[in-house]
Amino acid sequence: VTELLSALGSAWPRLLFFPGGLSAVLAALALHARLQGCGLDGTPSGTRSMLQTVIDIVPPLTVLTLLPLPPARSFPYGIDLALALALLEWPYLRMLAVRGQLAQTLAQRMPAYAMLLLAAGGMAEAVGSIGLSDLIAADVTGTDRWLLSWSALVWIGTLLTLLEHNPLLAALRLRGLGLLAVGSLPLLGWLAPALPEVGRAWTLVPLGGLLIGSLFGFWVRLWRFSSPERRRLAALTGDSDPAGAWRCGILILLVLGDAGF
Amino acid sequence: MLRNSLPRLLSGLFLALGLYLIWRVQADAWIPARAGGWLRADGLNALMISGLGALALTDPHRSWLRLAGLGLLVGALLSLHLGLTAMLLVASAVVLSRGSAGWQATIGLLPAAGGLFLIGSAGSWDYLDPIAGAGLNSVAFGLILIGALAAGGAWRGIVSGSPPPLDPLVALAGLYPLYRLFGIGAWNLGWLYAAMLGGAALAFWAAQNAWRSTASARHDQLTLVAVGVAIAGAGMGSSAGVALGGLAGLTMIVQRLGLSDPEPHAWTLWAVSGAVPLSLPFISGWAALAAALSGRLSVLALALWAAIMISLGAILRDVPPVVSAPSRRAVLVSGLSMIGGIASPLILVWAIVPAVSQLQRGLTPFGDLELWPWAGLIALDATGRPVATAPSLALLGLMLAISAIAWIGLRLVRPVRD
Repeated sequence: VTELLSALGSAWPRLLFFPGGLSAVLAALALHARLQGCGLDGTPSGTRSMLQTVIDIVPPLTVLTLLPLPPARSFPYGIDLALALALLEWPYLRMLAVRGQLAQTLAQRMPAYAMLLLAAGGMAEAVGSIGLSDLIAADVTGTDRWLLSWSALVWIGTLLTLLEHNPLLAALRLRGLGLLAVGSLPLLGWLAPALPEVGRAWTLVPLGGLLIGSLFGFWVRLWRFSSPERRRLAALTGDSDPAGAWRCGILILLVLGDAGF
Repeated sequence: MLRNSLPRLLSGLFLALGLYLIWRVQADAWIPARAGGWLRADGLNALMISGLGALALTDPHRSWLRLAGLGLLVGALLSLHLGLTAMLLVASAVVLSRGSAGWQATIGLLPAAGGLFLIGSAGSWDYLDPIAGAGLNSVAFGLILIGALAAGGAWRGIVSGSPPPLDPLVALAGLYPLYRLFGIGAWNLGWLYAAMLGGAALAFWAAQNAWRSTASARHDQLTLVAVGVAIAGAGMGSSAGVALGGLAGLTMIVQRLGLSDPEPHAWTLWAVSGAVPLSLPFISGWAALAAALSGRLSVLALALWAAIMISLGAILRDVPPVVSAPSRRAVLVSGLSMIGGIASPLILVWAIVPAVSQLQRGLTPFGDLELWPWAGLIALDATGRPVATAPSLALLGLMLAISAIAWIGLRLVRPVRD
């Protein structure tokens, strides 16, 4: 118990500043301002009580707080991909239930969730673990390397559908940031060796975040304002568009092939 | 009054017996000297008896006949003699078939009894005898697996497309012979694959049926999802797989308690869906994924994850937008689900680990679900490397701290916005 309490006690910079707390709130606002600028629309939200807001905010904020990002102080009890996904989706499911749109929206978003699970399965198969700290520190080669990066791209691409038409609630902004951050972990792991060793811990997240955030914004723009041909290009990893169904097939083949079937 | 409440009281006694036996067998199995070597209580049957008692308590169709069937099932579970177990399973199938769901719900126990009979006649009737393993062949295994898959009545649904005629007591008891096989001998790879495939297919099929079916038929389909997950857990053949079976059984009980209400309250639906972080169905779903990954079975993990997500959607689609004041049952189910989930590390250590350690004889080292001291649960692969982590207690502490910070932060921001 002492160990647990001391770990929680020494986690306060994570809770207040980085990767949770202030930095998470600012990054979520910046990401959504960028996405709205790129055409990913949101819908106006109703008023909510303080208690409801706290109930919705806490699970996604917990995921952001526990992200294994440098230079945050290490926390011995990390979470995994399944837990992160469940905590991030909590405010979204609650919002749908409150609006009475749960059955209809879940049915519509089922293909996107299937892609998300497939991407998670691909990452798990490549790394042999779903711990978030293992995803960023994955030392993989050959097919596993392809599988991991492809799965991370599919995860991020699927967010095109999952972040569309969301009400402008603080909890859902944090959810969007969390989903993008979790999918970015393998890509940050890739980027890390390219940065100079001195100061890598301080530059990785700002540079990687900026790069991935901008690329995602470009992706959204490509998707929203372009011809069907270009849309097909964007569908490389995104959405549940039938034109991009082959990417799903490739991912299944990679997972199965890597699993030794 | 007494006529109605006595079956409930006696079901409660079976639950108490199961809990007592779990406490009694913590260190080692218990063979009562007075029973002449016919009875044996260990972690597996103690856990199953508690589960059957709890299911009988949640059952809306309480009758003396069902109580007699429950008594026969408990006798079958406690018997050390495979022939007696087989006979008692057949007798309970006959008695329970006269209840609400009919013979189509209980017929699954017959192939299971046949499989146990084959093992006993070819090897030894005493399942602790090392020679008993000699009788364990593919025919006997196949019968027992078919029995477990058919005990939920799914075969009827597959053949005719109608909702499965399910008896929850039979569905749970059908798993006993399958898990008992680990105490008799090691499984070969083909059997493990067959159980994995059969369990995952049953879970997936039942989950998509639950999504399509009407609200009244949904809870039987969800019970089948839990049965399928437990069978897949057996197919993993590891400590983590057996632990998963235990957690899936607990989830089945909480779901049946919640969804047997004709009009479940929104709280109940959230609590039994697995969408609420740290609730019991949520931890059970996580365990399915973690157990499969700890054996490096990513494809199985994906199939079980998909089945669990679909059943989650199937439950949540009934949530009404306007939430009324919760009923007593809704409070009870939500409380049980949350306490069960947060205390899952303690449940694992107290109720499930004795069963796992006493079945070690037939288990493979590929995957373990362990207590993460004072933090939650952790899944380890064959090399002892963590593959999945659910630090439920640490997370709870962290979430409380974040709630306090969020509350203070919102108090500072809100007046400006207003």
